[in-house]
Amino acid sequence: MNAARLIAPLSDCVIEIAEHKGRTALQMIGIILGVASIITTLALLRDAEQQSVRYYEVTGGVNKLTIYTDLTSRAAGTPLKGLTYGDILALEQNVPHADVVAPTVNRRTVVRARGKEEVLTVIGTTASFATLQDLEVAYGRFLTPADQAASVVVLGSSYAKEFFGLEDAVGQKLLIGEKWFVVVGCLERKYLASESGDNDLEWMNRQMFVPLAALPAVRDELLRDRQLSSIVIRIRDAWALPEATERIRRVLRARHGAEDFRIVSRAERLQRANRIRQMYDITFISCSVISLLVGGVIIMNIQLASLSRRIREVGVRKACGASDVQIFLRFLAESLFVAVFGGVVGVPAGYALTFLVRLFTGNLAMITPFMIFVGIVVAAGTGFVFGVYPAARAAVLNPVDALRME
Amino acid sequence: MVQLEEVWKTYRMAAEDVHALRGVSLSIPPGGMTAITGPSGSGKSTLMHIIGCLDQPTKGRYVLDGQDMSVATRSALARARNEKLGFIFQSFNLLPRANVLRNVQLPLMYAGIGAAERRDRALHVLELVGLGNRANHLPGELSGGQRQRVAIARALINSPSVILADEPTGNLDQATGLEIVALLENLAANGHTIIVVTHDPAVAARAGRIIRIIDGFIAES
Repeated sequence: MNAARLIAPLSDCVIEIAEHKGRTALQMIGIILGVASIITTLALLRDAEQQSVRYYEVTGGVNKLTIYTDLTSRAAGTPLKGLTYGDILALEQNVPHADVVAPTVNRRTVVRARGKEEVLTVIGTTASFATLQDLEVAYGRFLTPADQAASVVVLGSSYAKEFFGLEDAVGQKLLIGEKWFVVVGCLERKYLASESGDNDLEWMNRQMFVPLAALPAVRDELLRDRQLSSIVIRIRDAWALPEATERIRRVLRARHGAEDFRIVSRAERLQRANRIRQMYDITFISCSVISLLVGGVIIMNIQLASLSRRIREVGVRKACGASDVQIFLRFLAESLFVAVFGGVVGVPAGYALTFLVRLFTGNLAMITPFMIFVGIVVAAGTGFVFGVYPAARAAVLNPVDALRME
Repeated sequence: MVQLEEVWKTYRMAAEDVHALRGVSLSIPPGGMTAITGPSGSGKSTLMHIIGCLDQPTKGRYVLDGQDMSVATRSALARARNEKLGFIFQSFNLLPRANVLRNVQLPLMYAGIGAAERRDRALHVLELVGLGNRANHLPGELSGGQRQRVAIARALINSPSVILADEPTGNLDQATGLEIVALLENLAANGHTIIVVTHDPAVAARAGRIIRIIDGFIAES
């Protein structure tokens, strides 16, 4: 059988579809909604993924390790040695992958200025911390190595505003605990719109930094034995993360005599978050696919119903020489055309749906050409799969029986 | 050339074999008009279905233009219907939503012939049956006689070796029926092989040869 015999009869089915506008529209509804929901879902999922990538980008990247004192190790009987400033010096020397290292000591204490009084967390750290959190200075400066134990403080934008209003906070004084600190810098406001329209980075605007040595000591007056809340390390290359983590573990274990610390990797956290998001992705995409399958079942049912009214027509076509294959292809092409056409109409419907979601949630979901491609291909696949059964039913009809049908 | 040798057609109905044809042998040479007559239930429609490759014998041989159709595959039967046979039915069997031109083109479409040639040939056969000016009408807009002429044009379009007409005048008034028979006679005179199944003696009388079937046997030929 040559190609012309297979292709020529297909022209007829476009006319068939055009002549049954009502039936075609009915068949398309499910596909239109299915494709619209697939496109919208893909757009929303992509936005969620980008949101998470953006979050990590503006908070210092994923190549960051944070070492905490592990409080649970105390139960094992060993006296807790904890992280010290000396550990930092050792890490700087022995971990060549480390790019930037900074200590933090978090202290909750009373902060007073201009008659306002609040209990806040003050972070004692060094100049390098700005790099680790990707902090930008709006006014004044960040901490510098020259600060040593000077009583200076750098305020996050929200704190600057709360204590000193619109007035430039630089040069103002702040009572932290029992000691007066001079404000030497205010940070740039950090902002990242969340899915719900809030600022995902507000916690960064609610930080205040003082030199590590300016905080009252916890255990020892010697800086190198000072207890730290955490050590933050940036690793130069992402590929070196596992090796660097191992190295850090060995250095600290040798110094502490026990594993009384915990290393948290942002890359791992991101991977974990991605795995969780994948579960959501699968759930949401499954829902859209199910709605598309419903569209496919609608196509199949309507094809079967229309076939029962067209049995005689099939008989006439067979009497005129249509082969089983030609009848099969013709009915299959009908389902396929309806599904692809429905898919094409589903694209603007998907845009409308995405627009509505953006309107009501402040979401930034964007439809890409790839999503449109996926939507239409999946629609075509649905039309194909659900068109096979009705087409096969039509193809195997016996011409005599079909012609006898009233 | 139509040749049947000892053709049986048996249907199984409620655990009982019903023989529609009981060893029919006949030979119809090319050209001329042959009538197959007989009372209803005699097996003449079954015979027409087998000759028309719409059905196959249970037993026996049917050879159409040298090809044994009794053992042919479904696709070979479809090909034979397309290239060697043309059908005219009592109820016309036109596609109601397709215009006259598209109805007439159907066999050429399944032969894989291009749109332009299909159109030219369809217009040509419509001229032959006197409906050249009705090409764009729907079947519902035509009279019974005109519809049967469309069916005749469709049967003619692929120049088949045999044209089968199953009670072609059954749904027409007498005058129109005679016109249709005259048209078939005319085609037969021009070298087409026409086989008419009818129980109307007036139609049978116009055929060059009459085959009478009773109870699945050929009673006279």
